[in-house]
Amino acid sequence: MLPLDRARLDHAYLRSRRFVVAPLIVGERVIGVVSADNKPSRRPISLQSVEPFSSLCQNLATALEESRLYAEARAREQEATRLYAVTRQLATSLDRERLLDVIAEQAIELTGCDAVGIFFYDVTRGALVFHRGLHLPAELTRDLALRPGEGIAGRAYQERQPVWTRDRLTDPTLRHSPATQRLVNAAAPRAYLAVPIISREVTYGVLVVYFFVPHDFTAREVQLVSTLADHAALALQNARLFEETQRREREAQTLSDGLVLLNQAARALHRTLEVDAMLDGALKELARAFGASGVLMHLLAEDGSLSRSLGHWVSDGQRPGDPGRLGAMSDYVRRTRSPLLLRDVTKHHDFVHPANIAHGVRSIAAFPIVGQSERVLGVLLLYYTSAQAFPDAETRLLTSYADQLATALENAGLYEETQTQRLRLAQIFDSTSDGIVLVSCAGEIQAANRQAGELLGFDASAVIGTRLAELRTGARSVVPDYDRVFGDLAALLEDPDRGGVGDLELRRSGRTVHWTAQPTQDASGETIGFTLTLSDVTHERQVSQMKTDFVSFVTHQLRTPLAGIKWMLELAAQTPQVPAEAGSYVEDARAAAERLIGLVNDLLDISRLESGKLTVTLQPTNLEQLTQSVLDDLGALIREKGHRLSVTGAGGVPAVMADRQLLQQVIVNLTSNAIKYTPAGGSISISLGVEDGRTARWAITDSGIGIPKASLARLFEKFYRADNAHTVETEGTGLGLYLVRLIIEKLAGQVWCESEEGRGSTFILALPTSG
Amino acid sequence: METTGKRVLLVEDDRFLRRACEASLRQRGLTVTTAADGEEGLRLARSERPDIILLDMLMPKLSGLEVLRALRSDEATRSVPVLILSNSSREQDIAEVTSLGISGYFVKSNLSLQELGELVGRVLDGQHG
Repeated sequence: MLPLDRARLDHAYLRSRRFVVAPLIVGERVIGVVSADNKPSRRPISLQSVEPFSSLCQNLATALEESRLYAEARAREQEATRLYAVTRQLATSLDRERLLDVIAEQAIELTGCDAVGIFFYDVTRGALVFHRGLHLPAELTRDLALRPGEGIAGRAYQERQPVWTRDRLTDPTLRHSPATQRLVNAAAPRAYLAVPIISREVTYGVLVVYFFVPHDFTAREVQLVSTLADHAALALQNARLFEETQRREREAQTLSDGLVLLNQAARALHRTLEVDAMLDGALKELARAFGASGVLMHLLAEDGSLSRSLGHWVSDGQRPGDPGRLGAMSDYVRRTRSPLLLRDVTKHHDFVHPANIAHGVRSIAAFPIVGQSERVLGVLLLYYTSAQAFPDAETRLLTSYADQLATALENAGLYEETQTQRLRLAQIFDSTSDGIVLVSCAGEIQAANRQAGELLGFDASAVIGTRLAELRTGARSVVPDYDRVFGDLAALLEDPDRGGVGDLELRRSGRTVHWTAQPTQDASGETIGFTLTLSDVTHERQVSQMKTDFVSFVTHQLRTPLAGIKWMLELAAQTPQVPAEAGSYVEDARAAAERLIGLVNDLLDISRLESGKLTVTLQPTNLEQLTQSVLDDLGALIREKGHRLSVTGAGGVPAVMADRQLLQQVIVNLTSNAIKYTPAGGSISISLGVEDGRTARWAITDSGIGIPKASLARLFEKFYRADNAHTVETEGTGLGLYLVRLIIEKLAGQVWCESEEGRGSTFILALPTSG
Repeated sequence: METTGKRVLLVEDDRFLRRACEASLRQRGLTVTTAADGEEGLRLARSERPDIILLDMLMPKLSGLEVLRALRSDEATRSVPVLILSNSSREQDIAEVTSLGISGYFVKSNLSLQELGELVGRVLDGQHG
């Protein structure tokens, strides 16, 4: 069946009449003709029979067309099914390499081609190179590099449309560089169709289908491969987006890991004084996280010079000659305050110390560590033994890490400062010879120094947070007398403001500990507890005891012979046969003995008052009666010296709360002083009075020699005698007024003196009344 | 005051004090027996039945306190008046003997023989009166 036009067909029928030709017409298109020859019958074909024949042909044409359409529909369906399968496979995988495998396999399936290649553009080579080659010679996929516009694939890439060749050997439009031409001649198939892989204006590469023999590419094939390329583009885009997302996720994860690391570091800074050790650990982690072989942090002093370095080198030998100086690279980073990334150290001999290269360093990243005050605190350096590309994400991360490091360093600086102060205080706390215990209002021990532990017999470091009460009972109760001590301390807790003081006899250790409790206040003045100061006074107490014992012993031993002298002289004085002169010697000896006895008595009283061993019996005492009794005793002396005596204010003074004997001693001492230190014929006046309801006042005024101003302040000191005292009375011991003071203090009263030299003195007592 | 012939037991380890005291009391017409330690003092107190005992505190063999305790626990000597002549002015020492029943406590060096004689006279007087 040959296609014929209708005019010639009619003409043929008219001339022979023995054969008929009918066209096969589908729509407006003639798809063929049917010719029927009537030669055997030699009978012309009747015109009537042409019409059914023509109609038959029409039916045949329709049947043929339907059959063709059906086959085509089947083919399309199969293609669609395959494409669908491809699409589904493409859609289910986000693995780029797996996707490219699927595309290559399906291209062969769909087009029946002999080989497939996928080209990607390589930025570094500036050419399209094979990324995938299926059924292609190895040398071709390995070595072929096409510049955009070169060959079929190059053109497809550049023109962004399908390009194909029926046979490369006969295609005059095909152009290659000489080197490529040789490779193509040697290894390339004959026919190929290249379709660019484009999505959203991005050309990913080129998909090429090959036939090893010349091949006429149909529009259908072009269409199919184009569709496949579109799918590939979409899938690649998805994969790229997915990879991007994953990369960002990884980045975020690394960043988050890095921050966790820094947070741990920052926390560690608050726990340990050994900042360097901690930072060293953090740097090691950093190196691990970023795959660096070595990491260093140079810490800079205020003036920008190298203070010290932390971290580790790739190897020890890498350390440059002068460790005290900042390297050129670090110094550059310090000055520019910006990161420096050396992808290939061999190209930066000006920056990089040869030792680095010698020890296998290939890439270095350096970041400034800039503090809040814009001061460059240090430089962070990462050494890599493999060449690094330093993608933006990584440098961003490291920059942020350097920022965090700056914060951590500044915190550490502040912390170190407070730590230094704390340490200093702690050293003072521990080096003081006194024991110190800080107790909160709740009775919890907040601090205790070593000495406190030693004195009280506990482990000072283990009692922090323990309540005093817990020390008192249970297993911790290692101190005897705890109940007594902590009984006193418990009372302190009720009112810490009051404070307290006491002695603690530790039976087990045989030591005496003196404790003083003082309220502790916070910055706002609020009482938050008390500070217990403990001092070992064992030795002092022993010395004091020995002194007391000695004085007591001596005086008691003295008293026996003194009494012997006294009594013998008394007997001697009574002896009638003694001549007058000898009698006067005996009398003087008696007076001397009395003085000695008085002195011993004073010493004894003082030693007992000083040691606190004197028992005071407080009772309401009539001051007026007491005064009178003293004046009766001393009357002879007063008269002897011709003093005028007056007592005023008697009668209206309430009884005072005092030890009668001790108070009498005071009045005797003061009155005898007035008598002694007033020249003969002077005046002595005693006045009694009451200040308010609670204080009685007793004063004795003489017209004596008075007391120099300079002596007034020391008048009541032990063994002290006023500068002018010797002029009148050489027998004074300097004990009398001291004893007066001790007694009056014991009686909770006060004694003082008002005097003017040459005009007389007044000694005043203030005593609590019994009311 | 009629104390002549009354018997005084003086228990005192210091010989000078013993001598002075004895002489002074004899001058007052008293009969004086002396003991140089506590043991002898206690023995004499039991055998001699004195009207008054002057007792020192710090002595060999038996202290004044022990002698006094022994005297006060013995029916025969329970009520004999005792004057303590001591060197100590410690309240504790005074309180101890006072609780056992004494007629007076004195620090020897603070006491004159004159005063001692008068005290003895008063105690003996009181006993009779």
